[in-house]
Amino acid sequence: MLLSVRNLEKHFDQSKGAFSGPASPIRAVDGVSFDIPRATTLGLVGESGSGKTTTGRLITRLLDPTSGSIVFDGDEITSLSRGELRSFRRRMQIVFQDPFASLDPRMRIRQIVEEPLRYSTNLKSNERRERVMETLDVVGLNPDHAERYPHEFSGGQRQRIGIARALIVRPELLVLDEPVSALDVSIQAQIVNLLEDLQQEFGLSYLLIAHDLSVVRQICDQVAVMYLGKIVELGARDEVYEGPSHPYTRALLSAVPISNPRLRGTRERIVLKGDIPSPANKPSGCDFHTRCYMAGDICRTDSPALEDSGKEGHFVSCHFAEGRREHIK
Amino acid sequence: MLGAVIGGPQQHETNRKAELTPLLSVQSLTTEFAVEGGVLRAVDSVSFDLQAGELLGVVGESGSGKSVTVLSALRLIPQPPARIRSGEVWFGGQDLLKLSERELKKIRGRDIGMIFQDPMTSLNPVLSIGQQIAEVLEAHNPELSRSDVTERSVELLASVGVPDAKSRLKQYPHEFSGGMRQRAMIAIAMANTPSVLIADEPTTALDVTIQAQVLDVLERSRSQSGAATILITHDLGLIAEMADRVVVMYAGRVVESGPTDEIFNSPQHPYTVGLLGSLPKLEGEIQRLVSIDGTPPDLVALGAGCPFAERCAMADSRSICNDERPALELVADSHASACHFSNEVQGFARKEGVL
Repeated sequence: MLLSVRNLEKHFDQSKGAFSGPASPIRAVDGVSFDIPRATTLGLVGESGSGKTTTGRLITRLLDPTSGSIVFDGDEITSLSRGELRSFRRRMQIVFQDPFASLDPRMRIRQIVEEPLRYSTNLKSNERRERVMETLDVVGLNPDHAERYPHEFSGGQRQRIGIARALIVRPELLVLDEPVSALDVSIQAQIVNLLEDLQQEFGLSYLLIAHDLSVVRQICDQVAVMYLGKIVELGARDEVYEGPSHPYTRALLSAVPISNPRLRGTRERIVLKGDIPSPANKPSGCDFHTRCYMAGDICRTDSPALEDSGKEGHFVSCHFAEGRREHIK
Repeated sequence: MLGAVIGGPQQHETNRKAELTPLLSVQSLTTEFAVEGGVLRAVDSVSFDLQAGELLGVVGESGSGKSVTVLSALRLIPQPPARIRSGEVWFGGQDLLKLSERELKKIRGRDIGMIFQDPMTSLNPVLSIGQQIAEVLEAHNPELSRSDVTERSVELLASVGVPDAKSRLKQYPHEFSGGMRQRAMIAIAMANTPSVLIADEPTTALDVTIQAQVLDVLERSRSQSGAATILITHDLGLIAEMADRVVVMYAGRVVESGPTDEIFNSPQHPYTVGLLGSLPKLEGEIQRLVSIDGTPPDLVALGAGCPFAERCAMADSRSICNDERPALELVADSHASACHFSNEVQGFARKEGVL
């Protein structure tokens, strides 16, 4: 197992106004567990505020977890100091969503892509240069463009630069935070294909953070659905897409527009009530009960655990999930 | 004329006319921007018709000119920097491009309602939601009393599914969530029961469950009022789900138009094929996406040929594609394509595994 995450939590303290009492912390990530085997992809899906981006930052230790454990290739890295983390940083890299905001506009592409090498390797300048050219080529950029600045590139090309920067230190795990959501559909397909090719070629593992369920289905081996800081359903791709067991997963899947007009009427759209509640003020019982179309009395009082659904590796946290009903009685 | 030739009854002829006359007709619309290094033709001789009651989808990627087209048609595009070079926009027997600003204002908001992508920038932050609904009601119905306006506003806000409408009328846009703001926009657009509704990426900024709510509201408002709708979107899924007919835009031009089922199941332009192949799906076998190589062309430096030629796997360096711009021509009943080799597209799509 390349990455094992157990009961990961991150609480943010709310700033207190002069007249308010002590505020309860925001539980942005509230007990998340999953595994990513080598050379596979886990998709983390959820809406804004579900905690998926925070989870990605915790795993790469860009944020410090409040509690829980992160084991990377057999080593516990949850509480390593900055210095101790250095050797791990090279092995896990992150690609950010916005290719316009994540590249320094004053740096040349060569400098941007080279920068991580300076900090995590002892390569000589000419070796670094060679590696930059090689990496640009791998991500489908013309090495002749190395001296250009980010503004001279389109969104898709900038995302390739972001991928090159992550790839140049030869990592084992890439955290991809909404890597294609800012891109047009034809460019999105290019990047999706590139990510698949890179995984094949280098045996990379991905944690793909995304809100687009079709993109996740295209790339991922496993899917974890997050809601208000918790994973509500986790399983192999086909298990989750063919047999979604949590009412939230079902609603998400039903809300994805169809891909061909001939499928009109074949998918019933489940429209959830209201907005996602604030993580600062979570509902009692099951986090989802305020919007759930299946909720019963128990849902208002008891929080369901993420439990095995009976199919191997498929976990669901719902009192009314298939095969769970007798368990309540 | 037609009646005279056929010699049919008078009644029959008027029915035919109603069927044939589009509600809104955009003819050869061209809009340019003066930019550093030349002129950018954002919309290049775009023509399409909107029939009564139908939903017309306009699909394209960023920079394809889909938004500028409708903003130009309603003269909502700031001039300068834009300049509407030519074209006609027929609505209710008038060319909107020739009306005075005053006459046009009477039509916008009354006969034509609009919903934009980002309600945070299109709603006024310093006016309450109630004031903004009242504004469109009062502007076009001076006879309404203040209490009538309030009553109608509550009704409208409730009809788009905003709970507790009466008290929420007093709130300001920042007190509404993204989905609620978009509902308020729909309420404003539908306030005067327009015959045409223009929705520009109405759900793009929203989470998927909120998008489902807003689409639900939009569909309900539409079916109640029967408004013909132009839906501008980059999301082919929304088009597949909602549109009766589709206009596909690329580099400021219409490259294909036709009934939705034909666009998806017998596309006649290689760009449309590429778009369909780029779309990851939620059902069926998972296969590698068919991506379109390269990026859209620089609109300032467009050559004489087909604007898609550089990225087109079918062009294959055939000289006509680089030398001559293909015209938008009918390839079947009400299905048009701007491709020199539209008769080869089906075979190409099959080879690529898109069909």
